[in-house]
Amino acid sequence: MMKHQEIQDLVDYTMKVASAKGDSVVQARNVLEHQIRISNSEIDIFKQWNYTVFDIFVAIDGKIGTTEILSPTRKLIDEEISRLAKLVQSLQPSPLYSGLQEELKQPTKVEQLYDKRIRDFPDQAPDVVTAALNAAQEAGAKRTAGSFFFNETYNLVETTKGFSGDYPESAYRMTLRSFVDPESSGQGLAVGRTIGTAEKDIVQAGQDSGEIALQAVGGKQGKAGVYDLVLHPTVAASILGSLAGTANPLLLMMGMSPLKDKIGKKLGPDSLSVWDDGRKPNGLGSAPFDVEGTPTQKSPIFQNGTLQGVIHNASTAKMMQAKTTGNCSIARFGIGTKMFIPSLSNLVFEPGDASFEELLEPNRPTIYITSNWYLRYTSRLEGSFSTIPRDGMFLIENGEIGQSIQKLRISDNLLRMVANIEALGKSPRQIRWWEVTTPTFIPFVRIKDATMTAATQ
Amino acid sequence: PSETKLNRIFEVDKTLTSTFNSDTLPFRLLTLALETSKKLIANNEGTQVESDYSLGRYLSIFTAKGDKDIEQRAISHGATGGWEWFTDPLFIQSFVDEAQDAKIVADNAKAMTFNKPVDFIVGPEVAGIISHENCGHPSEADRVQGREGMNAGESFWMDIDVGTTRVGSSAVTIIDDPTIPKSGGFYLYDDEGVKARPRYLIKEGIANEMFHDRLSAGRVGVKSNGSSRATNYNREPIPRMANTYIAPGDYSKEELVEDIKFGIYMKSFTEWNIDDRRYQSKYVGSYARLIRDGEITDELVRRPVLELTSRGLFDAVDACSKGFTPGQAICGKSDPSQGMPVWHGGPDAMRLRAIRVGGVST
Repeated sequence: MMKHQEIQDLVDYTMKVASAKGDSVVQARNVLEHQIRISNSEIDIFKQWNYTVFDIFVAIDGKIGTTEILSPTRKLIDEEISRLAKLVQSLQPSPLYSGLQEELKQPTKVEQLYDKRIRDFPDQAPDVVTAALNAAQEAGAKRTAGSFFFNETYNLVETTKGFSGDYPESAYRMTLRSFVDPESSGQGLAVGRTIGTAEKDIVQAGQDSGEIALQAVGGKQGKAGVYDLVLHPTVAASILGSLAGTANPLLLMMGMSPLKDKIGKKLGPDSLSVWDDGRKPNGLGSAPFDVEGTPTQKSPIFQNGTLQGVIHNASTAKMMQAKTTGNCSIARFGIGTKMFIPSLSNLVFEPGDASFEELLEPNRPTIYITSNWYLRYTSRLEGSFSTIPRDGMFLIENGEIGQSIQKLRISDNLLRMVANIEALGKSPRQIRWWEVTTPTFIPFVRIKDATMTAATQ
Repeated sequence: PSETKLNRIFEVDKTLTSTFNSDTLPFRLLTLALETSKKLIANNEGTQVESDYSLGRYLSIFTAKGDKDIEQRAISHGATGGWEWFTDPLFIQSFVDEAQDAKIVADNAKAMTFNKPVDFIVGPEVAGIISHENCGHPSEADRVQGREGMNAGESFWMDIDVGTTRVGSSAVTIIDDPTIPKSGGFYLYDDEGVKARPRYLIKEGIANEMFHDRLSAGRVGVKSNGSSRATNYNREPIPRMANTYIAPGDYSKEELVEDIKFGIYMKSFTEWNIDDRRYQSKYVGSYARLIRDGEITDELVRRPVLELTSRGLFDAVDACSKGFTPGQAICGKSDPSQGMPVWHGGPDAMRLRAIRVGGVST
């Protein structure tokens, strides 16, 4: 990895070049990442990426642009900033920008952000993964497939308003899928930053996936209709997180959120409280500060069912007469270069007080869904969507997990499903995988009267 | 120069805002992405392939507000080898037409219940996504071999014999051809240095060929058919689609419509998804009109749903028309995710017989 002082020197140089053009932000990341992929119950590849990348934001007379430099050198920095400045000057002033955050505050202290044991983990990881595969097989899996990432990243941010801060972070995430036969599968996830507890989490993910896959054997075609749903945290994060995740001014402005014009309105039950929490211990989206240098914070999105607000950077906050929530980022949005916009950190759902068994109790037609993918919208403004359960899906019979079922689709509306939340479990988990890209802390959730559809032929 | 491209984007927007007002088209996002790259592929067998590549992509998402409803659409265009398509007056007109369609749908479309099976005509946009999702993905050999099991999933083609198993009617032939000049998925040699050629995935209803890279091909004792693609130098090359399409037939669109007593013409779609074995699919119609007595009427159907298995869908196809229109897309697969530019397309019309309309109104 590049030495921290080398990165600091290059960032200082970048800031010198960029600030001569206008207001600027430089975000440097030096990443050492590993991936172990598993297919057909074997580790089939072990990869390593080691790279340094700079994201640079420049504002000239209210006109803005970003560029990304991989493996930066002084020559590349000169060339790219010159090119960026020329492009920015040809634009019109951006309605999304009204100046960088001026006020400098002490960064937030985030617990469990970095575990130095990550440095020795590449040697241990294959054994940990093998233990997870064994746990899956002992639980019933005939075949496993998975993807395990872990990384150590050094971050450094400087702004023309005088902010300079750095921090290291460590992270891991495992997706493990077990199959008993091609149509009987289960998924387990392990997500966190603390290497000391990683092995236990990862082996548990293996066991969870094997158990669900075994339970799923003998699945029958599900019958379309209206059911209560008990959502595994993996599914709840995908569906409910998709709604909370649109509490973003950019999405509201573009008509891509069903939360538009609903701030202050009660959309869910009293039991629904959700935050964007950039300082959540062990959260994969946590950081001490955003790219404007604003300390991260815990910002309410829903409180007792009422939509409280949205995330902000300094500019969107000014636009909506609010305060920045420390969510400024240089992030991908759609196609093309990155944008200088507010992005979520971690979504955190307030747990309820129901045990898993209590969530299964109500005597109404109920389906328990353990995983889902492919959530797509008919209308983002309305929140009408569908998504496909995959892996274990079960009818609830007499308050217990019963017949395994298959081949149904949740075809409903995000606003209606949030309004129909009946109970939240008491044990949240952190979810982050292919389908859920915002780290989300959420428990099991019971939702009444959801529509399930099936293929007609 | 960048000013020319920016001016062109503003020109598109100006055409839109002069046609619609902020009440009828309240939200719009217009994005143009132009990328160029140089690629050198070399291996220890002596392969050395150099290429210069440019890809232009345009994505727009807009919301039309009508008397009855709202309608949201995402429109994507793109091609390699230059961005002349973006300066073509026909492009702007086609985009305005799409917005007009959405407005008409928002004004007039009525939810309808269909108690009996009806015939469908789908346009190239719908046929294209079907070719990609119901045929392209399931015929990727790495899925069939379990390599993508953790995230992107496996395939119902695991359960069939390629070369003999019927997966659709004899009217269905689906081809993937990376060598189409200026296409969104264009290449002449894949990322393992294998020469590209058209792949006949389904030939007259019979599963015919899978996408192979050297690894998947070697595992089953065949040769790679040049399907290996990676999004960057630091990503694995794996079997991917390029330009997948449903092969045109001999009929005109009018001839296919003529033969329908009662049915639905689904020109475009909004929501879609498919399970990770690529068998249970759903396509929600956007611009859809009733067909009565052999003619497409002015009656608009609100969001008709094709919720079909891959086999149920391809079995129902009885004819394809002439013509071919491609659409640009980014295909998602693998972990870390590799978003790959592709085209998918189809003939002017593909007819499906006796479809039970699915879904529920939300």
